[in-house]
Amino acid sequence: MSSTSYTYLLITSRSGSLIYHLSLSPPSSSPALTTNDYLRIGSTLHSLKAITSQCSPVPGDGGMRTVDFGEGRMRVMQTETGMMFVLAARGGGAQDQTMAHCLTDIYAAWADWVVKNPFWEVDMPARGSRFGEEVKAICQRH
Amino acid sequence: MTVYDILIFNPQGSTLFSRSFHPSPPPTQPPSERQKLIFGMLFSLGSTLNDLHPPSDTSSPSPISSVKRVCLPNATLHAYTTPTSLLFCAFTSPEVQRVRLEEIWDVWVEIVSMCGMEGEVEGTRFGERVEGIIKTMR
Repeated sequence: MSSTSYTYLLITSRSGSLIYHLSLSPPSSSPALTTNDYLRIGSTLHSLKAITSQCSPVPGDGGMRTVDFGEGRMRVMQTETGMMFVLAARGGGAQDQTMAHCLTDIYAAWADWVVKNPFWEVDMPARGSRFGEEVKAICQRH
Repeated sequence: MTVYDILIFNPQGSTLFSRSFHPSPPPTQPPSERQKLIFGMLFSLGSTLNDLHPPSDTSSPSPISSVKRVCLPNATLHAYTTPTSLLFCAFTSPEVQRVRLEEIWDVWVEIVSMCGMEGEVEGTRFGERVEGIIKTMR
């Protein structure tokens, strides 16, 4: 059983548009975000990943990988295909390596339940509950 | 442990103090542009995080105050927002978990605030004390 309280999963395409979002915390403990809010947040995070790369004192450095904030931690994983997976967790128990492994498993689930869907096209928003159920199960295990 | 930059911003985003300890080659951007980018990045990041996770402490008005650390593959940005909304930042090598930015804030209070100095503090004793603190961290 996971000791980490995961809150959000956001997935953006290569171009920065949000193609999937999932709230992992109970509705009573999370703010009521509209679809437009999620779209704005997804594109902002995509841009911030590029901007953090420019801010780095080391030339050619990658963008943000982990962000520690007052309420918890956010982990970012960029795939070789340019997609970005963002996983947020609340509370002090979120370990960086655990979140990294969780994101890797979520990426594998994405390949199984979204990419292999013959009706899904690249960079298209993903719908369907099966991937979401798989994500929740993965988060429970980590 | 390597410290690359120490930066201090006021709540409006102006740079009050900056010190760089870059090994060669230094960043190609002009320092002022890079400082604006760092402040803007932290502000946007803090606002986005507050949208996802509204802070339980509503007394702090600045979105930046929620961001503590941003880890990149080859560097880490540490941030500390004072109760007066000044932002203290430090870029370090990635293995550094924590930087004692509160110590630099104490020196700021002692030398800058208590003396009623306003504006940039370059060329004052504050810079010497900060460099001394950085040397003890390495």
